[in-house]
Amino acid sequence: MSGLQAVPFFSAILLLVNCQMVCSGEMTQSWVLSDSKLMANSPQEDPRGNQNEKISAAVPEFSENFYDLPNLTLIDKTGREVDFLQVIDYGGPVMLQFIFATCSSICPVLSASFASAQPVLDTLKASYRLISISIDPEQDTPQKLDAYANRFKAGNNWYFFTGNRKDIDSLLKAFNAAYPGSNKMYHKPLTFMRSQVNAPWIRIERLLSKNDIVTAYKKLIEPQPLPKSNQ
Amino acid sequence: MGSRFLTSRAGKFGVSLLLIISMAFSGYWAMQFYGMYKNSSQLSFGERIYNQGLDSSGSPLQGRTEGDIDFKDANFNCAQCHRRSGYGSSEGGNYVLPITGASLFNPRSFDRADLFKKLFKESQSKLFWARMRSAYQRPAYTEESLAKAIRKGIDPSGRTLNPLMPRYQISDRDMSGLIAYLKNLSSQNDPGIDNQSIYFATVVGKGVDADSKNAMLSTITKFVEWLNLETKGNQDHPNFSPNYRSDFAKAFRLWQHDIWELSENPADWPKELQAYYDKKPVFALIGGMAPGDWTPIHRFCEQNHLPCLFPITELPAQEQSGHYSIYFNAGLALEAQAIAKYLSKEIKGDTTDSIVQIYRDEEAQGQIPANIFNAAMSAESPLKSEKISYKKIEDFRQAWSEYKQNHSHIRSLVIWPDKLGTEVLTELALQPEAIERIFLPSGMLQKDLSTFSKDFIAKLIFAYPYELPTAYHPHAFRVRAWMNTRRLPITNDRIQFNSYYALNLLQYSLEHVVDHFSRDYLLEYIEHEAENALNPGTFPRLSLGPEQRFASKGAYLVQLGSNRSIIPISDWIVP
Repeated sequence: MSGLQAVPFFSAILLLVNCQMVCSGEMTQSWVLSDSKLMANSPQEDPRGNQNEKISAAVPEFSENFYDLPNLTLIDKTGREVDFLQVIDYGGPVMLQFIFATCSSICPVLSASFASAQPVLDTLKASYRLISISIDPEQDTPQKLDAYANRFKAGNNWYFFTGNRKDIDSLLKAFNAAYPGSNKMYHKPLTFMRSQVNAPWIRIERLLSKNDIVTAYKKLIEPQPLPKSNQ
Repeated sequence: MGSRFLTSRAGKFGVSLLLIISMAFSGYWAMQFYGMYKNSSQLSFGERIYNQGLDSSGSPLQGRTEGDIDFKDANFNCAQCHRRSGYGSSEGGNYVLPITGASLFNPRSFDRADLFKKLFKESQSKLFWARMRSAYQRPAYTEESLAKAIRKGIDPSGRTLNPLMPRYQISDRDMSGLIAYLKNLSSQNDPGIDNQSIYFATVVGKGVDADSKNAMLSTITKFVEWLNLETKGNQDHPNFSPNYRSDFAKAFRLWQHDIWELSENPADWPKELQAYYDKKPVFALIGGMAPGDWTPIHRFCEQNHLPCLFPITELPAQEQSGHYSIYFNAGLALEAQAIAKYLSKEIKGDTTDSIVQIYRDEEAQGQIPANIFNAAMSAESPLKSEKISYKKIEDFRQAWSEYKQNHSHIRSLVIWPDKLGTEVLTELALQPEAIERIFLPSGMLQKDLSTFSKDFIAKLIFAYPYELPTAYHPHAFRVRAWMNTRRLPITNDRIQFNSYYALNLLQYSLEHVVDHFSRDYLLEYIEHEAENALNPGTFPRLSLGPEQRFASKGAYLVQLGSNRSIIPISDWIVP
C-alpha cells in the first residue's frame, strides 16, 4: 500500500475508534451532567442559597456503609499514643473527617463546619466525638495539629490525630477514602458519621455548612421510629 | 527714583512670579507624590488583606462561607485558596478560579492550553471536570461588581458564586486597597524570561567537594541539553500537532543555564549574588551547593522573590519566614532532632543516663545542630546533655582527657563533626572502652572509616535521612536508564538522582504554568505536584503542600554492617 493510499485507510480506522469512544460515552460523559440526582436538586432545597451553580450545589452525596476498620495506634495533638478503635467505639455518635493542616482550600472549610456546629452539638447531646485525622502525618506533627485545633477553637470532644504513614494509608483505604496518585492534593471533602458502635457509617461526599452538620447529626441521634404495623 | 521704583516693582513681580511658579510646581509634585503614596499604601494594605488576611486596622478578616459558617480568621484570606499568584488552584474536586488582574478585568474566556493539564493530567472528580468545561461566561468585572462579588457573592452576570467562596465584611477603604492590589496581581511576567528563553542558574560555593559538584552540574547540563533539543524541535515545527502541542507553542522557551560561583567568604555572597542577578536576572535557582550555612543564599532569594529549588545543603536556613526556597530536607537540623527523639524515647525518665555532645565551636555544622539537639532533648526529656566544644584538635584532646577522668563510662556521645571529624573519632578510638555508643550525622558515612576497628565501628550509630538501600522504588530505574542512554556517568547516585528529581519537577511544573510566567505560580505547582513526581528512590517519600518547604521529613538511625552495608536500628523517625 503506498503512502497516499494509506491515508484514507487510517482515517477510517481513526473515525471508527473515535465513533466507538463517543458512542460508549467515554468522551461525552464529562461534558454532559447525566447524574439525575444532581440535576433534580431544586434551588429552594439548597440550604446554602446557591441557586445558580447547579453543578457545585449538588445535594449531599449520602451513602450508608459498613467499614472494616483496622485496629491502629494513632498519635493525638498532645503527642500521646491512642488506640483508634477505643476512641471511636466509646458508645456514642462520632463524626470523622480527613484533613491536613497546610491544605489550601477545602480542609479549613471542613474543619470550620465542625467548629461552627460545635456549640449547637453541645446543646443537643453531651456525648459526641469529632475526629479530624491528618492525611499528611509526616508534616502534621502533634504541635502543628495543636495549633490547627486552636485555630478552630476545638473543644474537649474534638480529637486530632496524626500517626505513621502506613497506618494513615490503611485507615484511608478502610474508609474508602484513598485518593488517586497518592497525591493528597486530590483528596475528597468527606465527612463520616456514625451513631453508635455497630451502626452503619453515613458517608457524605462534599463540603458541609453548619446547618448540614447539625441536621445530619440530629438525624443520626434521633431514635429510629419503630416500623408501623399494618393493623 | 522712577527707575528704582520700576526695578523694585519688577523685582517684586519677579519674586511673586517665581513664588507662584514654585508653589504650582510643589503643588503638582505634592499631588503626584500623594497619588503615588496613596497608590502604594493602598497596594500594601491590599496585599496584606490578600496574603495575610488582615485589614487596614490589623484585624483578621470576617465573613461567612458555605452559607452559614461565620468566621473571623486571618487564615481565610484570598491567597489561601487563590494562592499568592492569583492563578487559583484545584483541590479535592474543587476548582478555584484565577483572580489575577487580567482574568478579573476581562470577560471570562477559556484557553485550552491553560485547562489541558487540569483536564487530562489531574485525577479529579467528574463534577470538577464538568465545572472546568461549563460554558458559563461572565463579563469583565468593574470595581463595583468586584466589590459586590467579594461582599455578596454575586458576579457581574448575576450568578451566585460557589458557597465555598467566602462573603466578606470589608470596609470601603479596605475594598479599594484590595481591588487596587488585584488589578496588578500577576499583571506581568517575573524577571528571568524573554520571548525565546527562560534563565536559570546554579549556585556553587568555593570549597565544595569537586566530585559532588561535577555530579550535580553534569546532570543539570545534560538535562538542559536534551530538553532544549526537544523544545527546539517543537519551536521549529509549530503546527505539527495543531490540536494539541501547537496550543502550547507560546509557552516554549529554551533553558539558558548559568553557574554562579561564589567566593570562600560567605560575608561576600550577598554582594556576589546580587551582581550576578543584576547582570542577568534568572527565573529560578536550581540545585546548588555551598559549604556551611545556606542562610545567605536563602535570604538573597527571599529578598528578590526568587525561587531557589532543591539546593544540596546540610544547613538550610533556620528561618521560619521563608517562602521562596524549597529543600529536600532540613539537613543537620532534622538529623539532630531525629537523634534526640530516638534518645528521649529510649531514655524516658531515666536521669542517670548521660549524653555528651562534641562539636567545633566556630563551625555552623557544629553549633547549629548542637543547639537544635539541646532544644529537642530538653523538650522531650528531663536529662540535660553536656557539651565538649573546641576550636583546635589539641583543645579537644585536652578537654576529652579531663572529661574522661571524671566519667569512667559514657553511654551516649553525639558528635557534630566537620573538617576535624575523622581526627576526633581517631582520638576517641584510642580508648573506646569508656564509650558505649557514638551518634553521628549521615555525612560521616561518606568518610573513610577503614582505619577503625570492627569493635569501634559497631559503636557508631548514624542518622540516615534517606531511603534504605534495600528499599524498592518502582520507577527509580527510569532515572538510571535516562542517564545511561544519555551516556551520563553515574558517579554519585544520590546527588545525581536528586538533581534529576528537581529538574524533572521544575520542567513539569513549568509546563503547567503554560505562559503565565509567575514565580509564585511555579512554586504553587511544585508544591502541588511534588508528591506526584517520579521519586528516584533517594528518599522514602518526597511530598510538599501549600507553604511546605521540606520535601522529606524524617530519618532512620543506622549502623554499618559488613562491607559497609546499612542496617537500620530504628523506624523512620519523624521528629
